[in-house]
Amino acid sequence: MGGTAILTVSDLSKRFGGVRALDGVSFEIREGELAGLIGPNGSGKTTAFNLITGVFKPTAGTITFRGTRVDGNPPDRNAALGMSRTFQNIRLFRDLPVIDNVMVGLHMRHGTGFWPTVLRLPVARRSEAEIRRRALEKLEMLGLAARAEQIVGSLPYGDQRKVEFARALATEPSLLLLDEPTAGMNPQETADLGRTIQRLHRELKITTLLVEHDMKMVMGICERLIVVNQGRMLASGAPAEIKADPSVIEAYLGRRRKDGHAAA
Amino acid sequence: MSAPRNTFLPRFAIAALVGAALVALADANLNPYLLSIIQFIGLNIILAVSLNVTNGFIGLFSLGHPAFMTVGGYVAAILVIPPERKAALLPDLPAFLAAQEWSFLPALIAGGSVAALVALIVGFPVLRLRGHYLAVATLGLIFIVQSFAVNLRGVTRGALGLSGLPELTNLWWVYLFCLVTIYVCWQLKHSSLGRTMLAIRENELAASCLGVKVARMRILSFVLGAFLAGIAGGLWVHLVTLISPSSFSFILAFEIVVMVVLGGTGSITGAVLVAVVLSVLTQLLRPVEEAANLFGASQMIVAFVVLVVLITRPKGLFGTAEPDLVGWLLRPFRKSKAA
Repeated sequence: MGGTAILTVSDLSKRFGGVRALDGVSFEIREGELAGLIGPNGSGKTTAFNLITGVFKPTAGTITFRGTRVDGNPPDRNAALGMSRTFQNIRLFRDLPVIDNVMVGLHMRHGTGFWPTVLRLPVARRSEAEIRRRALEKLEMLGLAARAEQIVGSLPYGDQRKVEFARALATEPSLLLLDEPTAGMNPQETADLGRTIQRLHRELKITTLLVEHDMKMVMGICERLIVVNQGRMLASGAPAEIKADPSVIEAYLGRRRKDGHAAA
Repeated sequence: MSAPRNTFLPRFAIAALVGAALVALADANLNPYLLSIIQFIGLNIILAVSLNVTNGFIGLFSLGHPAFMTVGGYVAAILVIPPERKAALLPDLPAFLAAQEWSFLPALIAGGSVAALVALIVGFPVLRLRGHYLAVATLGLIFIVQSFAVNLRGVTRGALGLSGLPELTNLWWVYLFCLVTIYVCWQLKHSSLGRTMLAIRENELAASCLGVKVARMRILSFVLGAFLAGIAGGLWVHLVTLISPSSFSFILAFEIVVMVVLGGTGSITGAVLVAVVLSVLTQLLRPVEEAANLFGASQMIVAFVVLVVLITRPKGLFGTAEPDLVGWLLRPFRKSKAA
């Protein structure tokens, strides 16, 4: 899969007061790949996501998505351009039914404006039917169709994660950004979700970037890995290369001192 | 939420017809005092349901309704007053306004539109604020509009206000705009557009990452609420035949907010029910207050009820739900048919 770059991040930096959360990070995501962004806690993975999707504005550096500069764009603009994301700490519309959560994601491309809505024009009714149909389709893809009318806050944790997936897919993205989808899951659920991600990537052919903690899962499903540590790029390459890279091992496991004492 | 979506129109039509029959009955049989009380109930319904768009659907805590009512009230009043009376009442009125003599409906809509325009202009800076800050800013708007009304003497006659307005509002007008308000807000809530509003209320960041234009939706809800409040203001002043800068104060804002909070943030049915119950209760308690010399007792009771509801049901009586009242009322008839 040596496709062209869909997302190019170069020299991306973000400072929060005196803290350098991200410091000159550069990488590329290629069309169609399933890539992983990994690194120890606090290494700047989620910050990178927030900069790419427009939740934060970068302090320096550029982000190019499908040929256009998108750094500094608001999130809704990037969503319109084809980015979609999930959140590390689930951010669903808790009081709404499962299907309504997904339907919100479809409004951008299939919804109508104020007057057709209020005047109940045929175009509004058609759009509503279309939105419902497509939302159900997304739910079926994730095996959630039976739960469509349940209030999303009442679903088990694993299913809530899947609703976030369905909702992210509802915007019909060309780049899917998944922020620690297995956070808070047991090994069984993690493996299950890993398979789901792989299957969706294969079936829908959406370029996917995954931020992940669980090394086993990432190594298992990703085609290419990008490693960051303490806000800087550490390495990038195929999982096998990354596993053998001494700098990565050092970042994760610590360094052995000359005199033989293990350091944290 | 899905059930009333498909059955709304027939139910709304039934309810509207039954309501119209009741209005005709009331109009023919009740004395003017009782009729005016019913009209105030209707106005409260318009106000509570329209405030629910901002405070309930999209989760903006606005107290600005009285400001928009003042704007709508003045605009409608000035447009409706006949030129010869304007010459006596407002000798300094700019010529293009002095010559106007509009009929009631266009004047009401003009009042609503100017209120909506004010909301649009004010909305850009003010809607950046959240929660308590927004509440304080919209409270400030009430005082700003009041001081404009006091100081623009040439147009508003200052603190004296405009009195002796024609008594144009009747139960039919109020009823018509109740229906319009409920219809528009219901359609909005149960549409894709309304769903994005609820989504913003539930999680703004997630909504914007899904491509929802949060700022634009905020402005839309604020402007829609202001338009309906402006119309209610126009109706109100032509019911009491008077408007002054202090006609619509922050106390009224409090009363409308209470209706929304009690009924449920986002529930149209809840807002309507509580608007009716609270208005009736206040009227019933008035003679009691006078007899026992306990003025303000009803406000204390209302405040107490608000506390109890907020502690036991923080999302109000119905939350965002719309209990199927028409179906519930029709149930006995259905059963007898089956039997």
